[in-house]
Amino acid sequence: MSYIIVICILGLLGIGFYCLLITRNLLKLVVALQVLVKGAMLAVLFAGCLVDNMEVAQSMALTIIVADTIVAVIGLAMAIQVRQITNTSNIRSISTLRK
Amino acid sequence: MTFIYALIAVALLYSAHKATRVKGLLNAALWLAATSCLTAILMYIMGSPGIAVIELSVGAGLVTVLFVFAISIIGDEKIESKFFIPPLAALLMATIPFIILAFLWISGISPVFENTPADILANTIWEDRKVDLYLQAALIITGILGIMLLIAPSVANRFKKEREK
Amino acid sequence: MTAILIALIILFPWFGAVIIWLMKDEQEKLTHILAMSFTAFSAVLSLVLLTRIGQDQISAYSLGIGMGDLAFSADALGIILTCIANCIGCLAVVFSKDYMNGEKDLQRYYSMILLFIGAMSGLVLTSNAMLIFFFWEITALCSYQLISFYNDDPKAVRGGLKALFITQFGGIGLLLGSLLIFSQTGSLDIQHFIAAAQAGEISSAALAVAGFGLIAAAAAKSSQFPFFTWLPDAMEAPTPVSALIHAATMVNAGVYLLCRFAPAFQGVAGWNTTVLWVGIITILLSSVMAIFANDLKRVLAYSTVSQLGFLFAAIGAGSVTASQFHLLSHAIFKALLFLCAGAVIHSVGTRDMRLMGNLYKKMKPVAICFIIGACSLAGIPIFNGFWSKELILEAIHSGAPLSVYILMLFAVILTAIYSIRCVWMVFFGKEKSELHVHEPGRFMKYSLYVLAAGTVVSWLTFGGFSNAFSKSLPHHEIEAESLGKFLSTIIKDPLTYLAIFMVILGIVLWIFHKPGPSKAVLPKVLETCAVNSFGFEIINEKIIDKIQNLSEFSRELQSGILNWNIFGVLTGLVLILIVLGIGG
Repeated sequence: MSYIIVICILGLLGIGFYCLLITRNLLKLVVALQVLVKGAMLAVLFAGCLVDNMEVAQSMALTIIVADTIVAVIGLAMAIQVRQITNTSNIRSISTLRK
Repeated sequence: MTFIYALIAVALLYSAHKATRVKGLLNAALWLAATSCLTAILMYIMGSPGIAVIELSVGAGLVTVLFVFAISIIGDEKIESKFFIPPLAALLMATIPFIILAFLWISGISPVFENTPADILANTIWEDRKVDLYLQAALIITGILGIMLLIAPSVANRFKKEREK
Repeated sequence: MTAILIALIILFPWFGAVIIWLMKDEQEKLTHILAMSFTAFSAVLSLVLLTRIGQDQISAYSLGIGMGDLAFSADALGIILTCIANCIGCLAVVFSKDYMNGEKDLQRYYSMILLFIGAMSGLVLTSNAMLIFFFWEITALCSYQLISFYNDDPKAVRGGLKALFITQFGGIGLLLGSLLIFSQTGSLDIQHFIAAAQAGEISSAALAVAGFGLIAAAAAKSSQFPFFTWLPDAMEAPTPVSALIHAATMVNAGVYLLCRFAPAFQGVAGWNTTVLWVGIITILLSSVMAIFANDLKRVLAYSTVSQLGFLFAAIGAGSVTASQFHLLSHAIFKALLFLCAGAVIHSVGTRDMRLMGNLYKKMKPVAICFIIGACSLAGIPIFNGFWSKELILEAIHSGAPLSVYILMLFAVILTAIYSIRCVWMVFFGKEKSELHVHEPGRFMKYSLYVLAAGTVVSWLTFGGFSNAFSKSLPHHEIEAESLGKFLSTIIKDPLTYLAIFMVILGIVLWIFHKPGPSKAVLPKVLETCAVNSFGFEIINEKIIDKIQNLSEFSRELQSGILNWNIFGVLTGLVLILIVLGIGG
């Protein structure tokens, strides 16, 4: 049982990170973050299971859900604004840092 | 029972993979919702039904709605520019740390936590983590502001007009 | 009752800050009046709080595991500083009525002062180490904001940033200390920590690190060696702010911190000696710099640094009472001096003492107040500075090696020299230039008179002061002493006359060499060193340059492309895991 959960956690984190590494679309970025955070959330709960302290883990998971949703909302809002201003969702278009 | 769990795990990973790789943003959003549902099921199995319900309603419900909403505003777009990081390197980088992690876990090196006496969830949230609660309130307010940004395309239009000038 | 008072004393000025922030530009008069009434009310509250000094700790609300309780303690150490902050804050605001008349951005000015007063009260009243850090940073923020108040003047902005950066070093020390306290005792409560430290329950290494972290914090905040360069540059602030924040209150936060924690670190080898020597070195360096400075406010700033050095030395010699009593005297007479300087600068329109001279006839009341303050600073009998400085000298004579005492006597001479030099250059001597002098305003004079009266009589409170300390601070083991006994000890002690002789010697030395005052008494090399802050300014510049170069270099790493950032994150993760794998 615990092996299955560990595989899920690692799999979700791996998929999320891979997507973050190669994606160039702002909206896809938000999707990848969502996947990543789900892995992290499962990991927190799993840690709670391991040390028999589910309550703290659950309250942490709750905070993570809240934070994660806010990240999604802000990310989407940003994607929309960027798209409206620059006419593209390519993440390159946001960067104005000096090269 | 293990078989069913394994099935859920496989489905979870498959839908996560689909969510990140599928063409078309709408499909991605739907696959993400599926991922969220399956995560919620796993949470339920691990013994936290409350969190599972919240995850289901917020992760699969609210976020999906917001995604669909956002996509309906800006539409889909195919990005043709080159990868910044070669895909093979990305694949390696995304797998190596987790292989090491799995190896560490299997070989028994995992951090040891002290056992603290069990408490009920409500106490933990309302008594021990007050600062967190304030943080969450602040986050939720931020979220509301974010939603207002989402539904304020007029602001963006104003910027656009200024740019054209 | 005490709990409500404490809550009011912190929150009421903050409430006032919000109200004043919302004022409009046209409502200038209303802004002045509101600021005055808010500060006056908090000053009254703080005086009421004075009657409630006791040992009880008030714990209002738990902030959760990692943050401790919202706890306050009503002991003498905190309440007296609260009184100083609120009362002098009130006088500074009354003074500002005339000084800041017609300035722009009054809302920002008064809001920051009120925010500062509330935060300062919180800082000294709380007994939770993490909350001390919280309030500490608010005071740093206000100080930065007010130094850079004239924000189109690059010198002011620079001075503000410098103060902010240097005091941040101190903030790191304080944070380190607080975290160590938490890790060692499992609670952030200071009384609990002191009790544990005295009982020897804390490992000596952790205690030493926390102790020296706190010394760094205190030295940075109180502008002591080697961090003393920020205070003179902070003089770009409007003068009432200099009087309130950079002379009477905020710089005392460091001294307060040491006094508060002193009993815990008595067992740490070298802690007392370090505090003592930080104090002595600061006194000597800054006194010499004060003798050579030509900017009126800079002279006062250096004298503040050196007086704070006296406070440090007293703590190092083991006498918290002497340190706190001189702190009270210093707060009063230094606020007086600064406000007088403000009145002079406001009337004359320059800060350069070389352009002043013979102002005594033109502004008699201000001159008399200034002379009272300067006499107190120099340590001339009757004024409060004399009594408290004698107390410190006595403490050092009994608690430190003789060499330190001799150095202190030397410092007394230097103090007398720069005090008389400053008075002479501003109020007497030849008129240097045709300056148009206009009369200081009504409100300015009021606050000067109150402070001058305080300078003359505040030492009479010694009996109650010492009694309150011994009663409310069980860990500090202070013996109560009545005013009569204190006076008779000082009057009977032959060393007192030695100190007075040193003061007179300083004055005579200066008068003797009046035409070229500093050059004849002290060698030329010293002047060059003093004008260049003994090289510390250059060291500061070097450090800033290095940091800037490093940042320029690290900017190259920021391509602005998210994929590469994630790549970096994952590389870090791999490295951590490898270290874990090998180390595990």
